[in-house]
Amino acid sequence: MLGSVKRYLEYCKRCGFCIVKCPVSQVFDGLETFSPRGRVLLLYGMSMGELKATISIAEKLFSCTLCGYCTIKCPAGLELEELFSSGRRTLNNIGLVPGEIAEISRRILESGNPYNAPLEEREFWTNYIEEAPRRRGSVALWLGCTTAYRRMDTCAAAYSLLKTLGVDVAIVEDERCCGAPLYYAGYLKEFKDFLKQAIMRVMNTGADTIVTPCPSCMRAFKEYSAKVGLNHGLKVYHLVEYLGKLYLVKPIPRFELEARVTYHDPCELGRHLGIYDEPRKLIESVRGVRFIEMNASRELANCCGGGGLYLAVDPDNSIKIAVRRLEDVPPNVEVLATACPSCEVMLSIAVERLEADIEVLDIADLLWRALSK
Amino acid sequence: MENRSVLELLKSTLGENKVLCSLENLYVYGFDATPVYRGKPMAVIRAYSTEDVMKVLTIANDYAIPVVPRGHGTSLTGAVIPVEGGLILDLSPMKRIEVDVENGIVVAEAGATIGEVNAECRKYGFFFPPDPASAEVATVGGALATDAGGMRGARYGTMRNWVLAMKVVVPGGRVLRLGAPVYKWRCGLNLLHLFVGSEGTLGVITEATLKMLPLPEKIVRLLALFETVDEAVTAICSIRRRALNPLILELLDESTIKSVNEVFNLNMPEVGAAVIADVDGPKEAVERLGKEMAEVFEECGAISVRIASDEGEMEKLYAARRGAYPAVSRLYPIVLIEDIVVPLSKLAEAIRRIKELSSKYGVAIVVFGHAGDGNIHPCICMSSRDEESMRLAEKVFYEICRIAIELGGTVSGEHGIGLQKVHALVEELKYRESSWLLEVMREVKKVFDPKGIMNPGKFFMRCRKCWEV
Repeated sequence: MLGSVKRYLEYCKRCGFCIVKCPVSQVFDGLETFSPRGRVLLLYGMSMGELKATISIAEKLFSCTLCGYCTIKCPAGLELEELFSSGRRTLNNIGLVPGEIAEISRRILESGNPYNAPLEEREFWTNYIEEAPRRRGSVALWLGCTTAYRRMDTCAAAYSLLKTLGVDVAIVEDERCCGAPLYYAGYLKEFKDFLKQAIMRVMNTGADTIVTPCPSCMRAFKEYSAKVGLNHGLKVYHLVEYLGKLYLVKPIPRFELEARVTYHDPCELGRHLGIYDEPRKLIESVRGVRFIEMNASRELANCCGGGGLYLAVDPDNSIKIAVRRLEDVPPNVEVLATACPSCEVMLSIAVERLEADIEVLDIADLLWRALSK
Repeated sequence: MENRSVLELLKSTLGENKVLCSLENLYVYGFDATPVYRGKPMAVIRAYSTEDVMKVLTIANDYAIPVVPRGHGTSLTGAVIPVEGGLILDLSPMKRIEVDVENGIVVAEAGATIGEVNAECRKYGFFFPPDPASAEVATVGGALATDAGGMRGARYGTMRNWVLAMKVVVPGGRVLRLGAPVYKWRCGLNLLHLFVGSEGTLGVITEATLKMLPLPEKIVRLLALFETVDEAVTAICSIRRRALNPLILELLDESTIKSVNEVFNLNMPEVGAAVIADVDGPKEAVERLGKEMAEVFEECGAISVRIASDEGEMEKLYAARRGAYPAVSRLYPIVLIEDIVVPLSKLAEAIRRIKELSSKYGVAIVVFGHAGDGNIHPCICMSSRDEESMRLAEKVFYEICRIAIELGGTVSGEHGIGLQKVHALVEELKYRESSWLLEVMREVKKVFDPKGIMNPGKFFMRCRKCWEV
């Protein structure tokens, strides 16, 4: 079953460097089966025929935010996040998927989004803008499910920012899930179908470029598409990356906001996509902002707990991870900015839980507020 | 009483959530960081306090159930492999750390990592001197149980030099409070140090009071390249004879340099050996010491010497040493790490003989380590896990141990004996005409552990070959 990764697994030296910063391992007080090394050993055991694949093992493989911190710590250079995704796919193929994951996948397949929300609600955010959004343009703004349903203000801010900065931006008609959660859940065929539809919808706008505020969607279009043989030829950018480019080449309006701001690096945008500088440049470009680096940042940023579908599998511990992440916020910070809707949701829950006096904002919201002021 | 009944008793005493019996838990806790040893416990117990440990050792002693204490399982010798089943006592949840600035001490529970201890000390301008390469993940309990050292061993020695007091639970559940939280302590036999390096065979360390030091004002790092290992070792000996007192003094041989170049594209000149040295102290003094050290390197024939005093440059000079183990890890699936110590005057000869073994058996052996205290880590690298390869690896492993013994050294400087070096320990004691010491050790064990439940099958109890486990 896992024969193809067996040789790869043999390179694991079991040194344990992967376990200490693993957010899931931390909330389980270092319990080995919930650590990256434990997951590697479970995969190894199954590949050697020493362990039978069970739903309990599947639960361990899905108890992972796929944050990739283990990968950067691995002396043997193993791509652990990819290894765990591959393990999930293998178990999914034989029907071993935790109930919560099967449920979220079912919702996506049936309603086109993980929240089971009506499609017409997807564009409620357009009420926040003054005119009807454009449907054709050279740049398609792909919002993603969490931004569209859970962060309507961010949708409006992203669209308005691009428009104000003179971008020929269009909204994707009938946007649905890009399929990224299906990829994380191991439903590769279904992921491919969803991504194919998403690409077609983007192409219907006449755009040759996708800009999205969601790092998961970005990875689906940019990385996972190649893994399932969908070579679309579209240019794909995260919103902060694209705004960063504009900032370099175009004179843009002056942003202004008095605030002490820090920035949480989303794992998918940072460790996985290597985008670290652009969000910082954008925040620092706002006049009046005092940018303060978070205590664990860039490649060493701690996870918010929301990635890899972990929130669905274990919401309590997922939120505990977000609460722990707040410990990295320097004192006297007023705004905790980020560039991922899932991170924003998780960190907002944590702020609420702690009754912390800090506002969590997507960079798009921060910039739009600075521009509108 | 049947095992099942003992488990029920443990569950009712500790709580269900602390006693784990699922197949996947038993499987993953059967490994450590060695490539060959495996075991299977009957249960994994998660200890959250000294009281938990007391309860476990009471029940285990009553029913003669083996107990293997374990931190993060980073042992390089098989020391935490449950070879006779029994209970894995996982101390990793015990992570409390308290710094006492006024008295220059830090109190840490067994499951806190050395890295976490250091991070806490740093908040107050201090550091904890021992720095095993695995400091980020190695726990205080494990580091004490193996008497771990690290690069700063050239100056600061191993864990035993930095522990003032310990809380230890012995079979039957009694708590021993060994040592005292003061810098001097003379009270009969030194039982504190008896437990340091005992590898969990006498009892369970649950808490330690450690000394810490103020952070140095400045560190200067040097990288010296030599055409031959002999010249590098001559330089190391020369430095040790002078009042330069290096913080670290690390050696990398040509095969290590080639490995890091291959994996990390460092473009380092592939010379016979490289030495990395740190000196620390007040700013004015340390710069002078750095220059003096550079002069010694040059006098001893260094091809080039670079000095770095800012953090970026220091990191660059350190890249090859930091990358040594990752490089061999990426190149070979099986890496057996040696831990021999030889007198400094014999270091060059030891490395020469190790290289001869490499040629003789056609096995890649990469040599790097803490040459400043004569402790090196030759890595035997194999491309396959098959039995023939493993037998050959073990043969080479023991021959390297023999070289250390014959040169007046020892088979382990900081990793311990575990399962891996049982034969080597026996041979070393025999060579020193001290075989009877094993009998003394067995008698000492009986005092604390009359039923022999603590980490059975380990160093002085039984001889095993790695493929037999």
